[in-house]
Amino acid sequence: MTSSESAAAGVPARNEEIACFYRENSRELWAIFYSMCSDPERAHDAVQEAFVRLHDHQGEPVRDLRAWLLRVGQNWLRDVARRKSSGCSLLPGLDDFTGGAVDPRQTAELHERQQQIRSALAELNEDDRRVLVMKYSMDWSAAQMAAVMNCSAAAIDMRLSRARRRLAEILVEQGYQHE
Amino acid sequence: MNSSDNRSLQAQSQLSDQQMDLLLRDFFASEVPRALPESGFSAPSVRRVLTTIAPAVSSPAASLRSVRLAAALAIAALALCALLLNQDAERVATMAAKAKTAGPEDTMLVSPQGDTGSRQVPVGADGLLLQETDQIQLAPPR
Repeated sequence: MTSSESAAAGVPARNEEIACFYRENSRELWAIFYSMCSDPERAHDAVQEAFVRLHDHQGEPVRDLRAWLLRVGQNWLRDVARRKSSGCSLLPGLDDFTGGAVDPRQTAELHERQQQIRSALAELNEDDRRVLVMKYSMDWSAAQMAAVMNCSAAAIDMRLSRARRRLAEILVEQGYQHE
Repeated sequence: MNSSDNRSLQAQSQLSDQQMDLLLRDFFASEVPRALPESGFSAPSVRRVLTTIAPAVSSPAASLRSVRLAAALAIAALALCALLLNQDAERVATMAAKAKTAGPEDTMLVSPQGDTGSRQVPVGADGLLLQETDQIQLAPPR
């Protein structure tokens, strides 16, 4: 087998490896990016961008895949934040109005509520926001979060409770009307 | 409306912990993109990712094992060093003994300038030249 043939045979294996890593880690990466930018679509784009760049990566082999993806996604988020100050973006959820199956008023209200919660989340400190994102977007237990954040499960429970209380206070200050 | 009225209104509108829990569940259910796969925490690879995030977290049994392994490796390395040093010392002692037993008659007729390439160099204290050594008959005359 020549070197070009062996390289060609290695491509599907690498693609499969990347796909497997995506299946197992993309949600967690999304949660980390989301806790950085408080924008679900942008966090998702950051995940996609990081994996696309990994796919196109031709340089030295990546030793710590997760750290590499995190760095690429984080840099991409920074670039977007910098560009956003001088550019414009589509209205959030504009595509949802075109289907016609959902009541546009309800959709608009839902978007407004979601936006209020997002901005309230953005006001929390980073650790509080992170535990809420891990708990509610990935459904991790206190023990699992404790392993990640290097503290006890009891401390995580306390932090979760405090973060929820603080978020409720911010929402009330913002005039959030719950049903 | 005075401040106490404000406070009571705020207390009424304050969300309870249970309400917040429900609200956040609903919020993240629509917030997480549907295209993202479910994350299986029990998957070995996710556990590996977690250890990458928190390398300091390890069980006491595992750390005890690693301490024992490190101690065994250190002892083995010390033993190897001692063995090598011992062999080296023996070799030096043998060489020294040989040097002591060798007399002046064992010295070889080698010029200190033997590598000069010139044959006009004295090779002994008596001024014998390298060129002249060619004519020395090594075999006894018959």
